[in-house]
Amino acid sequence: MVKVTFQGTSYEARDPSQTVLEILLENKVPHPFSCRGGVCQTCLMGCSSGSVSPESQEGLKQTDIAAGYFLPCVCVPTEDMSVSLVESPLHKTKARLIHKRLLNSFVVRLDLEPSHEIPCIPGQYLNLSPKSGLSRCYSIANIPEEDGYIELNIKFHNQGMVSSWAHQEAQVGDEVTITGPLGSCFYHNPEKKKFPILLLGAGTGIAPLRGILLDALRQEHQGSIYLMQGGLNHSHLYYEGEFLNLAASHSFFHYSSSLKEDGGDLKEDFLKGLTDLSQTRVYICGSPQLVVSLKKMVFLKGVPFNHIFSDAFLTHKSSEPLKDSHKPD
Amino acid sequence: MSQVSLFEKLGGQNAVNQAVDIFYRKVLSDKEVSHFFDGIDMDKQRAKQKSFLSMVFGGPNNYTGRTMKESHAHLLKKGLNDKHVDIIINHLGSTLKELGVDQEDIKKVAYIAESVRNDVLGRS
Repeated sequence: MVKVTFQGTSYEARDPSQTVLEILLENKVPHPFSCRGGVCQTCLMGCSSGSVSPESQEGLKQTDIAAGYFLPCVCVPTEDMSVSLVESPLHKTKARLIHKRLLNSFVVRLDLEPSHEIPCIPGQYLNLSPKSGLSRCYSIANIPEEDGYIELNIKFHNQGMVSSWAHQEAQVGDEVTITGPLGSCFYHNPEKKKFPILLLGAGTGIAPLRGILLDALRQEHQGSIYLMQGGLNHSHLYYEGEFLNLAASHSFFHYSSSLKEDGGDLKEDFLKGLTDLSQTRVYICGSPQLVVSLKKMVFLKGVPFNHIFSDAFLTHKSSEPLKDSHKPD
Repeated sequence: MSQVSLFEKLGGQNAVNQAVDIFYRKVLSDKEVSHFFDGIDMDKQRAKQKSFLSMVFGGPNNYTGRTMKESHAHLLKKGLNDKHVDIIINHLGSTLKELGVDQEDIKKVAYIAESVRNDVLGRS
């Protein structure tokens, strides 16, 4: 009988018609589920080895499929499989800090050179652990495959231990551990389709959006790309200069900003001049409140749910984790 | 009697995938009921909407009276009542109509939705 491996333990199927979910539940592995019919997507998992059935990926977002996600409730394994929770990373490696600089007075950029290459897609996120017992997730802000290093943008938080380390202690040459990558908020367009892209974010939400933008440009995306960056005041708009330069050199890329200090509201500013969004793919990154409200807004404006990709940055105090979320401190 | 289930007839999980965006958009745009969904993450809510649609289409579901009751208890405190259930069932009907489902099947779906009314409103 085929075996399903989950968190280091292998479970053998009792009969060949059992689904991955049934095998796990029968072995008392607590995994959330609801419909058991491949509909609700509550039981979504990742698969790192073995093949998943086509029906177990039906209705999933394209990026979920690209990340190897599937629905175990309708997947009958035909060979041994290794499955994981969508929020548990697959790769772990040491990395060396090769460059550090402030992007503004409260965001530091760290460039990390991994000792082993790990397959990072810009916009996904990694777990950064500078010391044992200490770790936080940060988004990939560049194209590691091209640059040879991974860029993370880390905001300063008084009580954030990893954040304090990054700002105050970290020195070029330091060795850290990274695990990942995780998340399905990235550019994915193997068929080279033409469609507009909308990137919306504030704070260090701009890190994954920059990664996604650079990736789309590198893959010669066909269609307009709009980036809207929100912030309290001008000093919050780090990378603005780079975005303005890119907009000047690419006629299909448009950049705008919205400042709270000037009475701006990312939501309202964005609503202005909005037309048909039914073909648009939208990426939203920032605080959970911003992400929840912008997702709802673009959905009501006609963007199909499967074309909305988001990443909400949780703080320590947020109690209930959201899907597609991680925790920078 | 060879019978295709209502769920199959409507198009199985594809029907749910098609219906969920239309249905959820109608619900969120309706000021009478949209406040029940304020601040709720769409990804999670959508999974629930899909489970609900799968159930009322007669498809696979894991709903019981108890889960229905428990999951709506906090909404009763926010004033959830029969009027809101009517509105939801109404949106369900117009969603199916948009998808070209015939009246008789819409009635069947509404009948299943109707069967959980008392659980949702904590009266069972």
